[in-house]
Amino acid sequence: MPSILGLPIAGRAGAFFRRGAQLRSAARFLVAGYAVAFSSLTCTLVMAQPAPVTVGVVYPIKTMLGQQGKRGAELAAEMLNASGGVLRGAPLKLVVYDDNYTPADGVAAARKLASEDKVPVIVGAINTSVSLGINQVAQQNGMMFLAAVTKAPAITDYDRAFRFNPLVSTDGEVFNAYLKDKVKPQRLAIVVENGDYGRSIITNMKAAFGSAVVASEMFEILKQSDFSTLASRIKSANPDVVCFAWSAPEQGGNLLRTLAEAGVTAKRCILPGSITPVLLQVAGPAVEGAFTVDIWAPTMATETNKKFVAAFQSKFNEMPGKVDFLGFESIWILGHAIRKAETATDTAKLAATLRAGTWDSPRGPVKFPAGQATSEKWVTLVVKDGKIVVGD
Amino acid sequence: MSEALLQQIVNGLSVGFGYALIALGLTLAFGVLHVINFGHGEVVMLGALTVVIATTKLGLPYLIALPLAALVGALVGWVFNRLAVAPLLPRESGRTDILLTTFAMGVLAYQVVLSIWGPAPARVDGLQGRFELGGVALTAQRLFIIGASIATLLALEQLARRTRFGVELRAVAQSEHAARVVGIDVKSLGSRAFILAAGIAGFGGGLLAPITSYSPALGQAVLIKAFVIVVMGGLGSALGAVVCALGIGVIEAMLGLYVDESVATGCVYGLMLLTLLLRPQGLLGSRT
Repeated sequence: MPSILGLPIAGRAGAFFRRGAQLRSAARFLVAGYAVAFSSLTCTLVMAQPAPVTVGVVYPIKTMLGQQGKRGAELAAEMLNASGGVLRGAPLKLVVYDDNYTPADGVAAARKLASEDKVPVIVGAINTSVSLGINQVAQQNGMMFLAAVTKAPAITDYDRAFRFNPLVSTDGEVFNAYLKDKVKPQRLAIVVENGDYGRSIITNMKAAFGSAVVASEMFEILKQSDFSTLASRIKSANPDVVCFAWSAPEQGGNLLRTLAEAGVTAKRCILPGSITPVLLQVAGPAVEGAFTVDIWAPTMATETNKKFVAAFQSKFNEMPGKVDFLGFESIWILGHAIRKAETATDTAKLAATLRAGTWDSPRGPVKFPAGQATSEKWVTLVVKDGKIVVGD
Repeated sequence: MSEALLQQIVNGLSVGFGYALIALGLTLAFGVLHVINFGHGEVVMLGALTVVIATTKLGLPYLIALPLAALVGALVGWVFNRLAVAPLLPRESGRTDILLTTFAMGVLAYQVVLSIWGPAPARVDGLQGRFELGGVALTAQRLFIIGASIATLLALEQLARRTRFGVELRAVAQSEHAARVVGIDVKSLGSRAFILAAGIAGFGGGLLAPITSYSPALGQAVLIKAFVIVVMGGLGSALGAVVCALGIGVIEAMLGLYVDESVATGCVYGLMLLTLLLRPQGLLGSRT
């Protein structure tokens, strides 16, 4: 019997309170039921959103090239996630660190990715020494390393490391063959940055062109801003073709302008990867007519390239450059390899899958014989009317 | 004298005059305040960036953008002075601390530029045209750098000789104690000198931008060169800074004709070492 202050309540009033007590019990039951149902639903929803697959990205992000690599990588991750993620619906998440173009910072970033972020794969690196340091850390920790931009030959000594940019020697073979067949230089001058990359180009070109090389000049990477002396030396060598290689487009633009100011009218060929929209902006009319051969051009007609270029223009409001492309390609192919291997943490299996497959890229089908990304088609790029167009 | 050598002398002079302005700002701050501004290079970079923004975003002619670069340099100098120099000067170890605070301000300025403007380099279209005389070619911009630098140096010379501010500057540079005794407000004068030095640096950045292109790394590259010039010329010596800037510009250019440019640069650093060993006060500096 219901009671108030311990006194029993009888009659209609008692029946009312008895019904009230039943209603309260029913309400409690309902609330408990909803709570159980809601928590189950929440669990189901949480289970439907699998944990992201985290990948480390290392670039010198305070530099133009580093920014390009980073934004290419981010765009690839966005496009992969928009098309269903990479591992049973799990999205790809990038953890980005700055290597400051110095090996010590690159190694520190790689160690942090290994010990704190515990990522299975590191992607990136532009500078040769930085990439070798990261490769070592990746090897020590059983991680996979995708060297997106660097051309360091030793990278692929590690069986879970892959290089996306062609080797300098490969660039040289293709480029030298093009020069010999189409341009036929009689007096060739070479102007490169002072580093492993530049020195290997001078060695390759001297071996290919012999006594036709009338001058070979080097400049200090990022530290040199005046090229008037270099221009005077090139002018006095009187070349009919000048070939250039640089990493920093501001230096490349300055070089071309200073040579034009000095009255050097030779044909200008630029080693692969350096004719970019930024160069056009910095060099202005001085880059008109310059040419190169390369693995990729924004105007290539593959379906994936059209999607990549359209998405890039929509996101960044400009045309992608070579490093934007390499940043994109490395993450894009990694995402597809994770899908196919159905693992991101078993890096041995992931590496074997990547090595065995043929992968869709903006430049066409790509394979990884001996860890090197290889595609069939190279294109000639020429600067014409202030635009980069595909040449003969 | 061969055409190539003459060409190199002219090239060296145009670069040297640009260096002279930048080094002069550095030595002016030292001469009056006895502080070294490690953020000086970033003021140069901000001057170049001002010219880029004024010409490309605002559509202003280069010759209008150039005074704006000096103004922005002076404004940045005022901020540096208020936050990183003036509050530390009264401290016992203030002048040592200022090395670090100005360095921090420089890094801060660099990071702010990177986060707002990004790392992208940019071209600056200066004065167009090219002159050729007896096989020696000179662009209008390089000629303008020489002319504008000479005009600025002469204006500073007049400022130092004919204005009260200039006389007070020279008095403080000679003896801070004596200047205080005769009633000169050394603190205020120091602040104005620091701002003037930054204004010259901003102007120098704007002048050099058309031949070096703007890049966020520009400041770090020119700062090292400016330090070499100032140390060789004698810390605090304006004449030393100008003479050494021109000398280094010409020596580097002429050596570059016969040896690799990296060797030529190495020779300049070798000269600095020699100067410090044989004449630690600098070529035109005084022992005091």
